[in-house]
Amino acid sequence: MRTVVIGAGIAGLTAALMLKEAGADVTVITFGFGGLQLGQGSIDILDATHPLDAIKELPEDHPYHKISADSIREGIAAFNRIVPLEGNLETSTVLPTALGALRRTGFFPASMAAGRIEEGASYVLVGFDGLKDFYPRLAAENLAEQGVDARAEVIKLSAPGDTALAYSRSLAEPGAAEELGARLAKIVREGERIGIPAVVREDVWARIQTAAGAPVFQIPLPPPSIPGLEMNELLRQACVDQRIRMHLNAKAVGADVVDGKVTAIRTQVAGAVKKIKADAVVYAGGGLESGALLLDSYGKLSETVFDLPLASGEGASEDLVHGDYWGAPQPLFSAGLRVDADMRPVDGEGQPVHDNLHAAGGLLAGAHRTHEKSGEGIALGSAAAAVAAITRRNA
Amino acid sequence: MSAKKLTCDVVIIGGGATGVGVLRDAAMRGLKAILVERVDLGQGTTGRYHGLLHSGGRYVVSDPHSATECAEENAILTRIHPDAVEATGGLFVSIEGDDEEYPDRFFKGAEETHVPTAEITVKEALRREPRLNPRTVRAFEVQDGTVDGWRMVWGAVESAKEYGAQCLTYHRVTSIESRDGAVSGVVCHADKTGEDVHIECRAVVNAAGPWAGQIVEMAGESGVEVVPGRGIMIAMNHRLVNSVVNRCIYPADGDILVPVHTVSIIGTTDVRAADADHLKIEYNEVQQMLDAGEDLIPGFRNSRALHVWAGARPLLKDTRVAADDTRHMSRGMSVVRHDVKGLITVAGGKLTTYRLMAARVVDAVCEELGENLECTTANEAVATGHTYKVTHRLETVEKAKKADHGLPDKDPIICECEIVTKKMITDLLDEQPDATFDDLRRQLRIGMGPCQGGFCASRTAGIAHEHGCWSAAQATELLRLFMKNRWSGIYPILNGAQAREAALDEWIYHSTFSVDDLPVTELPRGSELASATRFPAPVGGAK
Repeated sequence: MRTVVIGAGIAGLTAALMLKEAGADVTVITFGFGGLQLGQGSIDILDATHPLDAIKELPEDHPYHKISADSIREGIAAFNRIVPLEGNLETSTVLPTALGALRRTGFFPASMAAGRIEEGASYVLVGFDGLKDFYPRLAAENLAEQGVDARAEVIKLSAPGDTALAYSRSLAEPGAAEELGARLAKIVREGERIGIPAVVREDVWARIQTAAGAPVFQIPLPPPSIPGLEMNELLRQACVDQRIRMHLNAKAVGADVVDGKVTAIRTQVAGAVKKIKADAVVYAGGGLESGALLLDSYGKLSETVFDLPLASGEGASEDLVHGDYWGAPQPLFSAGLRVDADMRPVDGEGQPVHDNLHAAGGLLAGAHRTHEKSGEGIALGSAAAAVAAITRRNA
Repeated sequence: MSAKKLTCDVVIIGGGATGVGVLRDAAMRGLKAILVERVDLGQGTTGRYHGLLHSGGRYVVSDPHSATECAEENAILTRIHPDAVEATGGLFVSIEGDDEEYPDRFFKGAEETHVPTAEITVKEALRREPRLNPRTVRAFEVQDGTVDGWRMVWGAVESAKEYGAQCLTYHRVTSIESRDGAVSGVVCHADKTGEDVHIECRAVVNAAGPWAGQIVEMAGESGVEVVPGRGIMIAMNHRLVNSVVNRCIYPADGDILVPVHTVSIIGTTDVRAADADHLKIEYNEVQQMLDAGEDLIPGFRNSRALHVWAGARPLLKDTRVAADDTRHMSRGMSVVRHDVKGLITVAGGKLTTYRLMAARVVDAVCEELGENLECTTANEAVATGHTYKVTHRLETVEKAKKADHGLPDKDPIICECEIVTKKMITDLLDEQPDATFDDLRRQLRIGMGPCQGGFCASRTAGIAHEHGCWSAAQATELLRLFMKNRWSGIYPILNGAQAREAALDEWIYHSTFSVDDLPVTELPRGSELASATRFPAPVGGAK
């Protein structure tokens, strides 16, 4: 069975690995880098203490209602086989953000675990003076105002650059992690956990923690996310190891359809259009930020590869956005594809548009991902559900 | 609390181009002048226009008198504001289907009004402006330029201060006092400090622009009505044109494209507004502007729209004088005396003629005060030491970075779009410790580029907090207000690449940072007011 996955974000790469595991021939087509580096570097399920229970309370058209708890579990398990994570599906974990807000998430790398907000715990947030995306005093003061025992320190730590990436490279140099750890050991007080900006990979974090002699945790920064980049790298390497074909810088521009089935995906690579034959397709092109959805200057929202019908947003842009930035979620950001239980995009009558076209991740309509903190859970759950459907239908 | 007391000859109300022009003019003539502004300099109409320094070309047919004034003032402003004016030059282009007779009337009008103009070949026009509509049939070059309204205003204020003038921002006028039929003082409330200030004076100039009607009422005068005329403008990413491109037609909506800094601005509309503090941005007007841009530059709709805003022209209706009474009214600009002696209201006019208008106002002030003093504002440049350059910041920062190549970064770039470094922010905060986010934006251009605050806003909050200027709670509220205000100018034009950017910013602020989950407190004093006029009512029909 020839399968094509469009998109190399969390949903696309996980779906590709699952398809391969199920014995399919897999080609991944990606124009960009995938969205993992844009996020917070943890796996959100839902902003609730018990996410699986809270899913039941979501509005009727929410994509989670199409995705079973088992699919969510399978998707997370597949991801976890490549990217080690802590956390669980039953109870959320509260982690601090770089501005000191308390944020619920489901699963997270070991380097974030000690940041868990718990009764009786105390935290010291340590910033680096040349890094422009982390201000520990602001974060600590905000945490303190919410009853968390937190204080801040800023240390002089230079890198050839002012970004997380520059610090990441600099701290990966031999001895740098140990040196930072030793400095943190002098700052930390008895019983404190040390929060640092999320600029290092998991192995470097472990060395820093060992040298510090106290729990160290990373706090997610705005993009590019170093934990997200590491997840991306691990998934891509796994795809390469599994002999999954990766077409990079390849923009999916259309499809051949025969008798309601997609038979090939057309991709644009360096000026030429190429056809890639497919028996089944997982479309994981991401949401509006990734370019799979396009809002034009007349206010018309469209899906750019297959011109699929959209669940919402047929109207002008004045129905898609409103002026209250901190108010109700913007309809635009939850627009996308409506799907059936097999994750196939459906038309207005609820019928699948193409028999063998499945969608996953940010393209699915009906979720206010940033507000309800549900992006990765939907991505992994829908990827697993799409793969299960393809495997079943081609068995 | 007893009020702080000040004394001067003339109080000027309003810190826009007109007000600061009057301040500088009065001070240079030797009058003791104090300007009061309810928010910040250039916060009103001056900060919300398209950035055009008129050559006069636009008015050669519709308003010849203004055309000549513009041409003369264009030359003067280019000379006295070297750091605010970019002499881009401009074109008037006639496109297939436009009124065929107008270009000849235009050319004749330009000659008569002494607006320097020359017809150039279409080929030459397309060489200068490769994106120009190839269906262009005639083209004329003019001496249009662009002017940074804020830099012009700051320059004028600095110059005025050298002559002993005082400028009080965030001072809202609460009453105007008179004695024996003449103005005697102005009372202000300083919103940032909570202090009341009483200024004793002999004359008051009402240069409050679209808010001038409120000042007239406050003085207990009647018969003069100022109506805000709302115009919208859209900034497109990049300089799509090298020079100002005008449609060679009788002045209409959306017929000018102006390259300013790193963007191009299309403008504008003209619709009567009820309230200058709540200017709507209508969806159909946005579409009208985009269509107009597409006519001038094919493909305009596919370029990235960054931000839309509305400004209010102060349109004056003096019901006491007949329409043909020109003693009190000059074309386009109006200097009005009131029954109470010493009060002068000024409205109308254009940014290009701000200096001329100020000279007329101060002439009137001198007359009221019985002084005979000459205007000298055209003779002396505001001292800035440098000439306008689009790339001035890039050059400075690149030189500094080059000197430190390979070494740790001493001064991180906080706003990559507008090249604002950390030191620029901390220097400004040292000078103005009570600066709000919006003050930083106007003075440094933070958050005005393509990401519209997505990356720099949280950094700025962190820096201002670290610098001891804002508490964490204040930083949160100012950050919320800033993002809310940025959004007010984004959502009505949201499409294409900017919609993707907005989705990314949404991810950063609502999710990665979870700003929604931070505690809610009150805004610092004065900050809500600072942006009071930055809230267009929701676009019609939005949910």
